[in-house]
Amino acid sequence: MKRKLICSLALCCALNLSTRLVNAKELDVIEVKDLKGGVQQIKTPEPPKEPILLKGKVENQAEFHVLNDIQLNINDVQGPGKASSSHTDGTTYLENMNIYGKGNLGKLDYNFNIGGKATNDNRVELRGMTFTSLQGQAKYGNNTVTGGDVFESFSQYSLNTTLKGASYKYYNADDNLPDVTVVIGNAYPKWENAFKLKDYHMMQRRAYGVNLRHDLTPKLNAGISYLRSDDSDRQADTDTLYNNNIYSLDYEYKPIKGLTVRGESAFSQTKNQAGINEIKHTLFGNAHRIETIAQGGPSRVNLVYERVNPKFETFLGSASQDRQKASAKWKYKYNKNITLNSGFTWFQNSLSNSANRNDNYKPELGVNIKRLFNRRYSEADISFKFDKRTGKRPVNFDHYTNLSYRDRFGFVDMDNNFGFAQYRTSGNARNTYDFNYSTSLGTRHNLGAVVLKPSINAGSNFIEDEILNKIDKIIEYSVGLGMDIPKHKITSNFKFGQNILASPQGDCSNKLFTSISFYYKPSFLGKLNSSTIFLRASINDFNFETRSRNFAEKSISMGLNIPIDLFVGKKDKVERL
Amino acid sequence: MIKFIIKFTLTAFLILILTAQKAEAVWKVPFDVKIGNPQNSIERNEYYQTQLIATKTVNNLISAYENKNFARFMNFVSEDFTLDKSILGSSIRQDYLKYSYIRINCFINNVVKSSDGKIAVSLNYTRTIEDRIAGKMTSDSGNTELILIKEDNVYKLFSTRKPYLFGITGI
Repeated sequence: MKRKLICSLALCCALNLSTRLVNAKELDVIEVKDLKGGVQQIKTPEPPKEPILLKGKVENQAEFHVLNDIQLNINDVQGPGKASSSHTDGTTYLENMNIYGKGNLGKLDYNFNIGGKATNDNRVELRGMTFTSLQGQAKYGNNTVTGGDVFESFSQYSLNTTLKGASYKYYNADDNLPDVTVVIGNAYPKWENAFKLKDYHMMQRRAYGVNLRHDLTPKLNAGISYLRSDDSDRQADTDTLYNNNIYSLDYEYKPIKGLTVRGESAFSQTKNQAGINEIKHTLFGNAHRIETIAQGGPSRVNLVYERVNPKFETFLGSASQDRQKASAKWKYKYNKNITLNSGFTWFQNSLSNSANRNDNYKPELGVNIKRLFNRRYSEADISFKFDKRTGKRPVNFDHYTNLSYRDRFGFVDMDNNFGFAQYRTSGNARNTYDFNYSTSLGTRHNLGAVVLKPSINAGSNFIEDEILNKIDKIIEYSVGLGMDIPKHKITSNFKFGQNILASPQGDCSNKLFTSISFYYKPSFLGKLNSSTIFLRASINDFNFETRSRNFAEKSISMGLNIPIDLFVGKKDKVERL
Repeated sequence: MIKFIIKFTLTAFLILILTAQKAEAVWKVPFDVKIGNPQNSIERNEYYQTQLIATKTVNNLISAYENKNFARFMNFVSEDFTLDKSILGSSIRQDYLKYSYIRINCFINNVVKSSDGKIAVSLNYTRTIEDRIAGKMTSDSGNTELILIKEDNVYKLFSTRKPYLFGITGI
């Protein structure tokens, strides 16, 4: 029986191959050779006009790109408060290399990205050489396999983060089968955590899940997801490890034009593998979100309700635990220049504990006006927002008013913001006023081969604390000059700025910043002339009323950015390109 | 230091050469390698494009946050921000009230795009902040992840994981 089956398969293959060979010779007669050497001739009523099999031939080709960015940093941090500096004192280097590739082997398309960095700066990385990216993908027809850094976004509550692992996806827009995604991996931030290298040990959270998504009707799309995560490798006796299951259903329904209803319901089961002094327990929680978007004429209305149970746990999704929220937004385009925005958000925390429960109310109103005073580039924004929190704890009542105006006067672009905010807490715990103003002016001039881009930014905050009876003043300004020479591929920028904090009761400070940057794409590098040479230098001086906090930073960075592109394939293909 | 740079560069090029040799063995066809081909420049590579978009969006967010430009910062936050845009906005204002000086240096480790178009950005950061009330300047560093989504043809902040880079006072 088995032998017969193999013979029939072989016959079918042989017939198929012979048919292809003969078909190319004479289009109206198909000669079919059988296994014994006999030839049958079949005349087709209408011969195919094109050799379909040849048309489908795919040439193998590949392209690779290497991007190497290397820089040397020389930092000098001085002063008694140097521990507050974000710079590493001394000479450090940083090399960042990425290799990108893509191509095809017949109908199999692939692409990959391998990246790594090398540094001796402990603030950038603890190890000298580390991997930054390891990702590859192969696609054959409707099937896609991804390995390495994998980001499969099932839904907000179930899976919405990257994993180090692998995934498989089946997707076909034309058939009536659901799209399927299967994923497995570990939720580590870095590859060194996955390799369990020294200084990178951390708890392991292994996740595996599946998502099915389907267009049930032309108006209704739904997805179901299951995700499990298991923790292991406790790093301290007090660490709590979890086993978590999430079952989720999400959907999007468009019953009529302009109306969309979408949402998600998820259920979680969480068991803890208790650490020292903890009791084992299993929690069952749920989370629900429903959103309605109505759009018609000049209006767009958005209504959202969400409730996340206190016992709902998602480690790889996104949710604000123990919160109930409702919000409504209405955007109304009065005419092509005036748009009104209004909204109201209410949310409640500590759903199961009435002693800590609080309600938050956030109404807001705004208007955006373009072509104000009939000026072509003018745009104004005015907005008001209240923020009230009530409950057993002290009541907060904050409100914000903001005015902004952008315009162009002659050749100067201008952007102004003025804000006023009041922060008030019951029981005279807080009564603070914040007045803030910022302006920026910028322009661009072509002086022959040189483009000059001067700019000025200035801002101030006056914060009046009525309880402590003091006014804190924050003043910040900067002056910049950009200078580009496009003909020689040179870009440069100079900036000087100051930030002052004047506080009658706190520690006043005065910070000065100067920076210069220079980027040049030299043409003498021939095939590597996309490379960029750069030089950056900065001097920052931090002075405080308490002198033991003073420090100064001087920094010079120089480097080279080299992209290399390679095309690999048939010679004629390369020439044609 | 130089030894490290040379080792790393050589390793990367070795991988490239081995990959090219493997490719030659598989194709068994006249084979050519073209360097610096403008038709296949790096700018057209999808991974590279995704990294550029992610870098630009993260820089825009950080720049607006550091300069306390609230309106500009919120323009780079999606309407569908998972922890609620309005709540994030209040938290950003509390940050501005509490901190008189904010500077963030970040190094993007990893950028991954999902099949539905979202971009996950994993980054290392060093943040220097001056607490106006305590009169103290501190510097901290860490690793976090931002999820970006395309909205009105611009990539915006869709979700963020702890430790929060923005909204330090609590979302």
